[in-house]
Amino acid sequence: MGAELLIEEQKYYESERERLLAAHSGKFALIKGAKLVGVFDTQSAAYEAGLTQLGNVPMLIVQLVPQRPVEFESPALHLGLISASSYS
Amino acid sequence: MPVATVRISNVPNPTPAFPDGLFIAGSRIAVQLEVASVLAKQLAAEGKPIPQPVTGTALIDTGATRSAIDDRTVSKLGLSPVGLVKLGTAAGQKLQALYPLKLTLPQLARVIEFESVTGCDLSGTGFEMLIGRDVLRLGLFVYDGVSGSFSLAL
Repeated sequence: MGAELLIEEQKYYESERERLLAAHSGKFALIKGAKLVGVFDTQSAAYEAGLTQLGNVPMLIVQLVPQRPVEFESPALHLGLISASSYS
Repeated sequence: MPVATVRISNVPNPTPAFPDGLFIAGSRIAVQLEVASVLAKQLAAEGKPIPQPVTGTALIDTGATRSAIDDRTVSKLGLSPVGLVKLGTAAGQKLQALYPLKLTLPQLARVIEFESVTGCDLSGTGFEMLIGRDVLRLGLFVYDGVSGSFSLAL
């Protein structure tokens, strides 16, 4: 849930990723729809700018770094073991 | 650094010393979840209502790289996604939304402002949140399976 609200932003970012990375490496891009709203030094600065300019709406804030491996893993959750109990 | 030592007793027929309580219930701790302070400030400036905090229980999950909140809590707090994260699942990779969040751990009187936590489906687990290694890296977590207690200092 939620990721589908950023499909347009994701497509824009993927189409512009190399250009943004070359121009603003290490910075945080704020994207709304198919538009770059701005580039910021920190994630919190990007979020504050987004709230001020756009309001509490879906927005994509992404750090401009080379592609990362998987960033969230929780084996117990994904395997359904958090609430596993004996079969009886 | 405040320390919370928790002995699990909320299981059927607990005894003063019931080590299996921790085994059964897991290292769970009370949490209060609310919109990030910067969002609360923005909503107030716009004259909009600030969603009421959600209280519940978090599981301390040393296997989770990041902390995560249940999708239903996201809805209750009216959070909008601010990013995406690659999720590793048994079925392969997928993208999951990220949300800013303010976490309070009442037993520690500790507040943590997250720039982002992962949204995920925790229905059926009994937890509103998973506390991952992004929080544990800030302090000390001791799991004492023999006595059935754990300690968390942040």
